[in-house]
Amino acid sequence: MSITPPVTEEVDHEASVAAMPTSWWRPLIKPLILSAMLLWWAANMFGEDHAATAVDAAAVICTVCGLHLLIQWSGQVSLGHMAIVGIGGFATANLAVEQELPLPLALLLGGFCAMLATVAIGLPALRIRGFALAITTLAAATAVSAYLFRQDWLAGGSLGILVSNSNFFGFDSQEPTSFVVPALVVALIVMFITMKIGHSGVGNALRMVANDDEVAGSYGINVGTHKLAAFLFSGFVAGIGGGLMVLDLGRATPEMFPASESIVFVAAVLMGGAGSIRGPVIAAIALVAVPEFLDIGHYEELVGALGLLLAVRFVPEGINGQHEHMVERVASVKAKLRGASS
Amino acid sequence: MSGVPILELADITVRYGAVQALSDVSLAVDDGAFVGLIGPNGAGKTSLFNVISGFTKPYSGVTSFNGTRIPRAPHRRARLGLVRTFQNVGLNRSATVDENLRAALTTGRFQVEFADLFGGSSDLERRILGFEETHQLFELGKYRDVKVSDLSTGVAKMVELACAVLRQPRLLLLDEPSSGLSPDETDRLGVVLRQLHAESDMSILMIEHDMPLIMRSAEYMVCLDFGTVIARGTPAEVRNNKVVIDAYLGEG
Repeated sequence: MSITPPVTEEVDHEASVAAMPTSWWRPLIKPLILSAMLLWWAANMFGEDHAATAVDAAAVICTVCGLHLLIQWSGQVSLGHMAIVGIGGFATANLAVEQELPLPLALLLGGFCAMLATVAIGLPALRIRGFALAITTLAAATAVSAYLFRQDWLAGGSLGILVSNSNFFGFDSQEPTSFVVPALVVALIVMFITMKIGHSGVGNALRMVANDDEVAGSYGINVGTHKLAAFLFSGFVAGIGGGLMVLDLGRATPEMFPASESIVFVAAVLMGGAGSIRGPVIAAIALVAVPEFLDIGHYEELVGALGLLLAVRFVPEGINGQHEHMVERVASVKAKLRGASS
Repeated sequence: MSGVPILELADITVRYGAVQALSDVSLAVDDGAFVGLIGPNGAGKTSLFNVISGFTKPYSGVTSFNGTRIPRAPHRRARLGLVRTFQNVGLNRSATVDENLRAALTTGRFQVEFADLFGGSSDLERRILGFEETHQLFELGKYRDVKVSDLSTGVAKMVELACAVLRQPRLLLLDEPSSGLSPDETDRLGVVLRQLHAESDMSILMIEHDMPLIMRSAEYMVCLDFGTVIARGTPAEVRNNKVVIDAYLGEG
């Protein structure tokens, strides 16, 4: 059962995508060193304000990674992701207060609760796509905010839920200069997992599903399972993001999760552009940091909406597209220099 | 080779509203055979492919694969080794050639997709052709990093065929592989198809309008018209069949 191909041209084995890395840990060295440096810097150099901003950014990065997988890779959409973030936040708070679970466990299980909640959105997504799906997710999010977040059993009444426990693996979750380290670790883990999924067969399959249902089916890809799995993953990490926000503030209230702020997540994904998670992560950091540095407080929505409008008009390919252009330009300059020197 | 046909269709009828696209079509593809499917436009050839690959639920009739009835879900049929190509190129057009080939290698069953997640190789050695061999057989080396949307139809069709072969077909369903190809590319396609068929044990069922290509490649031919089989036999028999000449080939 082997075919001898005509030997026509020599094969560039280095360029082969199928070539397997010699050891699995080698590609991890650089990111690990960079992460350690980032964490050391975050732990020692951040003042109170900047640490709080960094924790916010960590929460938004978690959410945006999942939404990027959902929108850019699997070709679906969710316009009401703040509702999922909120469910994750309230679930984490309830688990920490009512069940008195250790905070890291409450955070993890809060993510699972948010994941289960996305099934409600994910199941209709198996039948509809595009505009109809977008509106359905928006409606679901509005309903969750208007009804679920007003229920005492989930949202704890008018004062919300206060989380008095603040011991997160020995870090103080309500002290931003301390909590910034575990929050960034969580964000880095989410980024790493999302990146691995994107490079794997699962990511390839999601992109096939986004491209064409029938072609994906003929590849042996179970289209429904993959669409649902994309929703579940994005729900899980969004719930983790919500949990981080709740642990950071030490309380959970409906006002922390306004449905309208979902625009910030969508803006980060669209400004990031198709492809790797580099773009949306940069966009997420920018969307959190810019309002803080400009000292305009809680105008994330405005900055997000403006950023979205400007991005669609001037950089439709997003940050990823700009990065590609820059890499190409640097490569061409390098080639020119090499040509001039020889 | 066993005597059981790899694919057997019994009395397939397909209706779209009031239109009957296929009426009681029966057809068998022997294990290892190369069967050509011809007929005028609208004869129901692609409808038949959609039934075989599970996209269309037939009004009546039975599809068996390797002697057993098979589930209808397209992805489950694909996993049995029923691999098809599309008339309008079933590739991810916004991805590069290598990304498409890689997708063909790493998607399908969840085990395969997750094996890749943890950096392991997904049983590449069991495949009919390896990644590099496929590149060479289909002469795609210089298009590795080109987006499919930037390729000519001829090259894109070759990429689609390469992706199909990487998916380890038991039965390869080709829907007009030569449409949009130049005469040279069509010749090359014929050479590749015959080599694939000769050197592997895959069966091939091919819809084709290019008579020289199908006459040289297929061992057995079936002609459809108005949703029914009007002739079947060896290429020479079908070509000289009076009914086929009247309905499709014309005097020539």
